[in-house]
Formats: sequence, C-alpha cells, structure tokens
Amino acid sequence: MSRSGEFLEVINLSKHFKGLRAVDDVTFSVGNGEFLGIIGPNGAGKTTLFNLITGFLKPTSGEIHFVGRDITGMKPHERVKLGIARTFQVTKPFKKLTVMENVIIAALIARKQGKIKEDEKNFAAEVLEKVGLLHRKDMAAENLPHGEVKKLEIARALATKPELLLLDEPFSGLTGEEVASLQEVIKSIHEDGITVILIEHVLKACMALSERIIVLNYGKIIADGTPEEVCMDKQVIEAYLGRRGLEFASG
Amino acid sequence: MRGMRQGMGQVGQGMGLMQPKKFAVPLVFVAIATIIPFIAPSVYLLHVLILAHIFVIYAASWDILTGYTGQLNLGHAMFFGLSAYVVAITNTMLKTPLFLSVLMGVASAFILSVAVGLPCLRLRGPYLAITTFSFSWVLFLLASSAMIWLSGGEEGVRGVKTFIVGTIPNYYLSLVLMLISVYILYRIASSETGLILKAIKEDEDAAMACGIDTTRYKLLAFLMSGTFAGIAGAFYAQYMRIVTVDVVTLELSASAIAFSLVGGIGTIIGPAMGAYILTILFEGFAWLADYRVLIYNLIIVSFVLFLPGGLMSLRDLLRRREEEGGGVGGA
Ligand SMILES: Nc1ncnc2c1ncn2[C@@H]1O[C@H](COP(=O)(O)OP(=O)(O)O)[C@@H](O)[C@H]1O
Ligand SMILES: [Mg+2]
Repeated sequence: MSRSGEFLEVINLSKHFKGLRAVDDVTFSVGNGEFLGIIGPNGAGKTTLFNLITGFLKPTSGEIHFVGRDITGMKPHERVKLGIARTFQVTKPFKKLTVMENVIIAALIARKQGKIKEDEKNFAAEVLEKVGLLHRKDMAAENLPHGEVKKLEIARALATKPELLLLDEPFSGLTGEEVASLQEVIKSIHEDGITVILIEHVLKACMALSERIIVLNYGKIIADGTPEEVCMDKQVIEAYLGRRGLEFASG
Repeated sequence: MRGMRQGMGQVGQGMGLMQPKKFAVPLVFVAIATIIPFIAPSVYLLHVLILAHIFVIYAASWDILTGYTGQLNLGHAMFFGLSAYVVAITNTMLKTPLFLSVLMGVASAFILSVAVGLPCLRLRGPYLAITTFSFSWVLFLLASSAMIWLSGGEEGVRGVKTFIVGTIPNYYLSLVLMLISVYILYRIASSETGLILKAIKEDEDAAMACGIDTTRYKLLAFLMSGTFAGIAGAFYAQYMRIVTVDVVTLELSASAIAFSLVGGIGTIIGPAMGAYILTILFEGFAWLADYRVLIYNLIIVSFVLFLPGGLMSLRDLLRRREEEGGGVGGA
C-alpha cells in the first residue's frame, strides 16, 4: 500500500445536528489507491461523513485534506474538480434525461477541465460500457429498474474522472445476482487506480472488496483494520455486528 | 443508429443538415409571417401580431429560467415592466435619445435579474416562488401607488418616441427581433449549457456532484431570462409609446406561465407558440379580455392536470406514433 496520510486526511472531524453528534471527532486517513470500507449500524453517521468529505455539509469542527490541500471550506463542485466523486445512497438520477445524457453532463465538466481529451460522448459511452449500461443509453433514466439506477449513479461519478470515489451503499436493494455483477464493476474501477471508499450494509461484498475497514458507531470510529481484524474485534462484535458478526468471523 | 442520434440530439451540433424536416415548420412560419402584411393589410391584425411577437420573446425568456432550470418565477412581469418604464421615463422626462433609453431599459432588467437572482440562489421550491412573486408585487405597488408621480399610474407615461413610425415597419421590426431572440434562446437551450440547466432542474445535488457550479448556472439563467424579458419590454414601450401599470401586473406574470403551459414548458418553442396563439386569441376576441385572469387560471390548472407537456408533447406523441407505425414515413 502506498503512503497513507497524504491522499485523504480527515482530522478531528465533527458534525452536530442540534445536539446530535452525527459525526464525533473522527480522524483517519486513506492512502492513494487504497480500498476502504466503512460499516456501521443505521444512523452511525456514515452518510454524514460522506457529505462532509464531499462538501455537501459543513463540519461543526475539524478539517479535511486532500492530496495535501485543506479542502474543508470548498464547495462540492470544486471538490469534484479536484477529483472527489460520490454516489448517493438515495439515488438521484436526472430522471427526464436519457442515461447517456446523465453521464455526458458529468463528462462535460471533466472535458472543460481537460481531464478528458476525447469527445465527451465517446467517453460517456465507454463509461456506460464499463458499468454495463450501454444498452440502455437512450432510455430515460426514470424508466430504469432500480439495480441499473445504482449503476448509473456510479457511471455518472466515474465520468467526472475521479481519483477518489465515494460509494454510499451501492448494493442496497440489489438481488444476489446484481450484487455479484456490481462487485466486479467496483473491483475493476479500483484496479484502474481509483481510490475507493465504500459504505456498505451488504457486509459480504464490503468484506470481499475492502483492504481495510473502518467501523462507525454513534459517530465515532470504534475499529479500524483489515476485514479479518475488524471481524474479530470484540467491541465491533458487541456494538454492531452481534450474532451475524460472530457467524462471519467463525466462517 | 437512429436512437443514438436522437439521444444525442440535445447535445449534438450540426444536426440540422441531416434533418431538413426540423426546419420545415419554422420556414413555413417565417414565409407566412413575411407576406401577411401583403395578403391581410389590416392595421388591427398587424397590431395584434406585433403584440404576439413581443409576448413570444417574453414567454420564451420565462422558459429558460423556469422551464429549463426549474427556478419557479411567478413574477416575470417585473423584468418586462421595469424595462418598459425605464425606457418611457428616461425618454420622456430625461429626454434621452430612444436608443439610449432602450439600452438603459434592458440594462435595468439585467440589473434587476442580478438583484433578484442573487438572493434566490440560496432558495429552493416555494421560497423561491414567493420571493420572485414579492419582487414583482413591490414593483407593481410602486408603479400603481407609491411612485405614481413617476409612473403616472393608470394614466401611464405617455409620448415615448418610436424607432419607426407605422404599423407595417413595426411589424417587421418585431418579427425580426422575435426570430433572433427565440433563435438565440433556443440555441442556448439546445447547447451544453441547456443540458446543464436541465440537470439542475432535475436534481441540484446530483448536478453539484457532477462538478457543476450550480450557483453560477442558475445566475446565468436569471440573467438571460431577465434580459430577454427586458428586451421585450423595451420594444413594447417604443411601439406602444405609452407605458401603464399593465406592464407590471400579476396578470402579465401569470400570462408567462399560461403561455408556456399551453405550448409546453422547457422547450422554448412551446412557450413561444403558446404566447403567439393566446395573444391572438385574446386580442382578436376583445370581449375575452374581461375574463383574462380567469382564463389564464383555467388554462394553468387544466394544462397542469391534463396536458402538463403542452402542445409540444402532442407533437412528440404524434412522432412516436409515426415511428411505431412501421416507419412508413421514415427517411
Ligand atoms: N440533515 C440532517 N439533519 C438532522 N439530522 C441528520 C441529518 N442528516 C443525518 N442526521 C442524523 O444524523 C445521524 C447519522 O445519519 P447518517 O449519516 O445518515 O447515518 P448512516 O448513513 O450511517 O445511516 C442520524 O441520527 C440522522 O438522523
Ligand atoms: Mg447512510
């Protein structure tokens, strides 16, 4: 693994909602090229953490550094231009636009920045091909089945040419078959050199993909280690994984 | 292949030559519009059509902000009205040359669009609608009572100069102005910028996540919208040569919505069509004018309920039928 602490650094980050500490003094860093999983029970603060990293929320306190730059005060679109892309847990397709147009919009900005040299339509087609949606390119996004909307979210994020990709529960609501195929897609994205942070409830997929896992509970990090380490961690097992964790840990 | 071309039509350039059909309707319209003064030289008819041309620009300019960008503007008359008043007041009271007055009128609409746009950038949904409505309401109150010494109230500001005297010259001038304005707005709407505006309308967060500076693009939409409405208002002032509170009424703001709903919101051409048809209808059947507000409201409600896509959606429906019918007419 490459040097951690230089790519993404989250330093004493907190976000309070009227007294509720959704993210509570969280510190961690992610190395370039790493695949980090973030797990934790519902309401643990995972999505809030993503919103802070991507600039959709302003932190109550703390800092975020990306490639050595303090990005804490930057707007979401500025962070995208720096190379941070995200998907939404509750999908947000441009419903009335076609699948192709959805992806082209993200590619347009990347092309204006010079990140894409080729024609943005060709590039968008390549991205759609990668996630397996090219056959749907002319369909209005609102007509896509749920599993494919999830893929569209990822395609759109990829079209911004990110260096860091944040995926918020991309597997939720997918069938077993869909999970398997999406898992391959995400794996190949990581193999292309993109650093990935994956929030996931489908533990099996998350454990299989992640090199390292952070466990959040009540806004705090309660464990940080390899999937194996995390699964063996008593605190994690008690606080979150419960019986399922024990089952997983014992194979 | 066909599907691919269609899917990209929104973004693509140079599609025109491949689709001569696309130009047929506008060309026929321009041809007919050009010869109307010869085949029907009625001053009254031409007057109605001049107003129609003005309101076409007005409706299309509303559409770029609300139809494309999704920023609900309930007070569009403020841009039209402010520009018209500034033209009339500077020209008659300060005696500035007309072309300078017109420049000032359009500039005032531009400045107003910044003034309204900036606070609106942070607002969404109903708050935005209420804010735009309030701005136009303030302008109406100023014109109808508080600043009556300047606006002349119901009497209005009279004696505005005109660029060209005569109905026929004004007819052609308004026709050219309308064609240029609608063409520009349509080109913008069909460009990359238009696609980005649509994305903002669909989902602002997702647009941001695509790297779009949504604030900048929303402000751009406000500017374009306000400025073109200002152009329409300035032309109106020099053509009518009198400006009354009519130009800042709630009714005029509502008409932008009614025109656009009839034609089809978010298409530029639709609102232009709607404005053309409804203006002729209202001016042609003067007795209808008394029921104008009622009719606008009926139109708004019934189109929202039964044909939210307006007349343009009927066209799309026909096209789809045609395609499904085995492509008999296909090229
Ligand atoms: N915008 C918000 N306003 C108020 N409370 C919020 C907001 N967003 C999240 N929360 C609260 O913060 C906590 C963490 O939420 P979230 O980050 O969505 O958790 P997770 O993604 O881990 O399920 C929850 O209790 C949630 O109700
Ligand atoms: Mg969540």
